[in-house]
Amino acid sequence: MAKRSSIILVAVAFVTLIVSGCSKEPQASARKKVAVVISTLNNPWFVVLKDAARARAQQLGYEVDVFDSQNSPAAEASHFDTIIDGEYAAILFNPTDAEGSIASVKRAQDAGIPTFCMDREISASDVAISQILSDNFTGCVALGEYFVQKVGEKGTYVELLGLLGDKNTFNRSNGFHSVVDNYPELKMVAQQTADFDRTRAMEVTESILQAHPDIDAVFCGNDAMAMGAYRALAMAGKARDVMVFGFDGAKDVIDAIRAGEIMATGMQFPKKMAQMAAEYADQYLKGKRDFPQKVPVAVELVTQENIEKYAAYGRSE
Amino acid sequence: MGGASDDEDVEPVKRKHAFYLFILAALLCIVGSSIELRSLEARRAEQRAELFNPAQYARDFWDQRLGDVLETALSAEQMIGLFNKDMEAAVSMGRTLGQSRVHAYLLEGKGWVVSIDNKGLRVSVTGPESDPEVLICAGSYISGNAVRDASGLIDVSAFSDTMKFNRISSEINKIVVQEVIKPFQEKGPQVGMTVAFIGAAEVSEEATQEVRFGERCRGSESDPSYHLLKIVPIQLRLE
Repeated sequence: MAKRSSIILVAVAFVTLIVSGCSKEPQASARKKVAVVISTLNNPWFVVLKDAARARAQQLGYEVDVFDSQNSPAAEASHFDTIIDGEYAAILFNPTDAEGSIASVKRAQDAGIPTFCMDREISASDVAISQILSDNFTGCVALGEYFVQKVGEKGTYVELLGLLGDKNTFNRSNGFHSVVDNYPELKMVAQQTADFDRTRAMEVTESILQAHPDIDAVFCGNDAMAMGAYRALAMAGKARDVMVFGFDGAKDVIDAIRAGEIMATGMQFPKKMAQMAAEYADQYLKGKRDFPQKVPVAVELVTQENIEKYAAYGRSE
Repeated sequence: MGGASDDEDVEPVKRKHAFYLFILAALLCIVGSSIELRSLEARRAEQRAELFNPAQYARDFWDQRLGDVLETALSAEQMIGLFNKDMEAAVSMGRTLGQSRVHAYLLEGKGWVVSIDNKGLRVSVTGPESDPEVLICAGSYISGNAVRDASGLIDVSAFSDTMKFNRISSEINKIVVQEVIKPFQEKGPQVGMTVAFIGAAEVSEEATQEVRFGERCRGSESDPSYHLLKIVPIQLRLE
């Protein structure tokens, strides 16, 4: 009888041990670290992306460290060295360079660390686990159609491009031109880069206005440049005569659309992309393996007619 | 004597070596300036880009693959009814690219031409006396991804670069203009004629929240403007 009792006791202890082991698993995963690597934190849009990724990962129980690549592929590669040596479980990654960043993601892959890209893509489909990307091209097709609707089929305009090494610059420009180039009397009198930078956009617009004082519109590859262009036009007394179009959905442009100063922008969803990346990483770490390699996130057209549906960096709650 | 003679032998050898070294350095300068060192990954990326031909991909898609899915096209008349009454049900029947509130549909139907302008044909699918519900795009260009996405045949994840995926759409749109719209326009469509079509449409979940397809959205009685379902034609003929 005593022998039987002790067998039961051992069995119960064994089962308890297994059950307690199982129940401790989430606590073990809670101690895992996730790295959030962002191309630059100088632009508020990327700060929103970073904050959303960090907040969602923390909410899911992870410790989070943030790395700012300052738009430098070399700094980014160095961050990956640190991450690979630092026992991180996953990387939520906003790359600096579609081609140049592939090698870093590959090194993480070789070290067994899954990478999830946010907003910007890398030109490879076999190194990151998934890439959640803004559909820049299609967003700018919609902006192009609205541009023609507002400016008309005849007129002159200027295009401000972003960083020439960034694929988003050309995805946006190509989407816009896939529409407006079908109107031969809609003439682009200048196309210059302003590096996605507000101050630079102001200087470039000022300079263009010297040569082309009678333009009808400015199409900008992001909202920071749209604000810079608008400022230059305002200083030249032309803010009411020239229509400005941006892309991003940043707070100051949403406010400017509401005030009737800027015509339209393409709303990207940085919070949504960052949250999805964190959730995908969590699912991966819990055993899921079936992820789509590329997930385009639609960009929505925000205009003075539908502005009430939108807030900065997303839709109104 | 012997040492002096050795030195005399060594001098011409040294001079010869110096001459060869000079020639080698000159050659390296000439050849070196025509050599460019680049990373292997960058070269591989260029090779991948060179291999992809969007026009050829679109041609293969149009000639070999699209025909098989056209028989799955939904009735335009029935879908317009669903878009107007139950968008949630309509959404479940569309195809969605990634995360989006816009869904793509293959639609087929027959309708009466109510009016024609440089954008296309305004068509009623419900009856010859009805207001138009559909705009069949028949202008000089097509934009957007309706055909690519409604077909469900092209997976964005198969492309290392989404720009390639987008360039396919541009090429498909060119085929639509050249091989569907232009031949159709040459037949001289007129108001009152009947057309049969299979095409693709992109519809936002919010499209019918304020005004339903086929209803007037602005303008006076003499110049009414209707909220129309835009269809990019894949097949289009006069009945």
